[in-house]
Amino acid sequence: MIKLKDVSFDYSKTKLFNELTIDIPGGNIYGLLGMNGAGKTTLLKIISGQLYIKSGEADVLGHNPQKRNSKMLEQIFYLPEEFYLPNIELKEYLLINVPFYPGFDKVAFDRYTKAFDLDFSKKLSEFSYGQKKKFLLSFGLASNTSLLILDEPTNGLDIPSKSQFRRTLASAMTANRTFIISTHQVRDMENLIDPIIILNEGKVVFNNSLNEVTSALTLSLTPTEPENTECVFKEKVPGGWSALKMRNDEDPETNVDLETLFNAVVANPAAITNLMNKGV
Amino acid sequence: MKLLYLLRKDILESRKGMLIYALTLFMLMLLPSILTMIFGGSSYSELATYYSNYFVSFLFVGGFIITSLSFREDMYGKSTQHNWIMLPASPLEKLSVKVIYSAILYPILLLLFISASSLIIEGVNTLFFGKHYLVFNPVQPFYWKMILIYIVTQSIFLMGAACFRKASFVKTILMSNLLSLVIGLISLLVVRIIFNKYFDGMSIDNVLIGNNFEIRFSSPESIDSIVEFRVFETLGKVLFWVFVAPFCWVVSYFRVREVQANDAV
Repeated sequence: MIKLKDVSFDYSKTKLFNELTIDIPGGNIYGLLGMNGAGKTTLLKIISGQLYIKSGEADVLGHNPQKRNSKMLEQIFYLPEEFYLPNIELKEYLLINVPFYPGFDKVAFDRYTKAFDLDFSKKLSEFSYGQKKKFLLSFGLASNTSLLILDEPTNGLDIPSKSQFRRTLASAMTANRTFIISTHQVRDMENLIDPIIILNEGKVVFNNSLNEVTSALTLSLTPTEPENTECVFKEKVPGGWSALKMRNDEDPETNVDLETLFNAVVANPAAITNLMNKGV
Repeated sequence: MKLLYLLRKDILESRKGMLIYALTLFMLMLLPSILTMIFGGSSYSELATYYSNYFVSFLFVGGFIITSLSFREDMYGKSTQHNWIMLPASPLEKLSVKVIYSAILYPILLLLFISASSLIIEGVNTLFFGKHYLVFNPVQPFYWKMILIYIVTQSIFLMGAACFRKASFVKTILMSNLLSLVIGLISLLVVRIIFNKYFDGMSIDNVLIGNNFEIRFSSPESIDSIVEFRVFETLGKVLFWVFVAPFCWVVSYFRVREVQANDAV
């Protein structure tokens, strides 16, 4: 579905990606995580053809994203963190934009907007930021594109809307679709994103499913600080120490929370990769 | 079909701006017309060319400005560029719709608009003052020739709009003036060399013409009968009518194809 090979990209003098390689097969809700400035949005823009790579190869849905041909674009819907909606009626927005997405499903759109409690009588400019986001999310989901890219989708959503977002997104997922969600709000995405891709210092340092994580790693809570040799990552938490270590056959499978996993990968990417390879 | 969808999108999204523009043009035509009717003093030639002058001004000045703004609100807009790039249409389709909108739709709508406005304004004048300017006649060949010239010249402004991210109207005028100067100087040299036998010198005669330059060109024949001149004249016409617009469209296409997210301002 998406293949980037030895991709290099820089912003004038700042080198961001150097020989980045990633393979994203279809049919999953991917979580793209990374620190500020790690290049998450840039990677999404490269995938969607908004930025051109300096060297390497890119293949998105069988197309070269740099060509930006309409066949590729009608299979991608990208909801950016900061977006623009024209000052027009909601119905007019649909009239203008729906013809560009051949797979658009109006019944599904009505269902999503109803679930998000959006008022159709309002102008788009009268919507709050969160309502606008929910509107675009409904549009993107109803457009039935093969690839849905969401950059910080839960920013600006109220607490009930966040749960509604998770439910709606999960219900819209099919085997033919791929969602990529870039986020810092990992707790909002718990039980939704799988596999997890982590970017750090211009490299993909982690690209595994949660199943692979729970098979290879185990998370334990100890009252005392564990030795460094006993674990690959530890952090002080209320009630003791949370330690991430290699899982042995006798260890029970534990849920590894995304925040701990992310911190562990960023702190010690080589050790985690090594453990994941052994586990897999 | 996609071109029609794109065109509809452009028209619907820009209709407020265009409505304000149309209203401004209407007022610009209405006020002088009524004031002249009140205070009088128009000659026949003014009566005959009143709307014709407006049409030519609005076609070129207004058209160039509108063309210069073609990409400002989508291709180069900080908040709007994302939607424009991600809109499922090829760069060629996106450019084509800009050409259709600014080079074809605008002059035709302007022609219709001035015709309708002149009917309304002169109807009012006849009703209240018993006299009127000549109503605008859109089928005169002169206007269509102006539209053809406009289509060629506006392509330069379209190229400017695609290439310059900010202040494209001013930058295009400056660049075309600079280019005209260079082409003019080169042409002068070429003409001086090729038509050498027709020149009898270049002199500055302070006594007769003060500090002005005088380039004396003398020929026993009529200028039209000089074969080399006719060749250059034909070459110039071919360059203008055949090459200028396609060249500008091709350059614009490459720019539209190459534009990236970090080009937004």
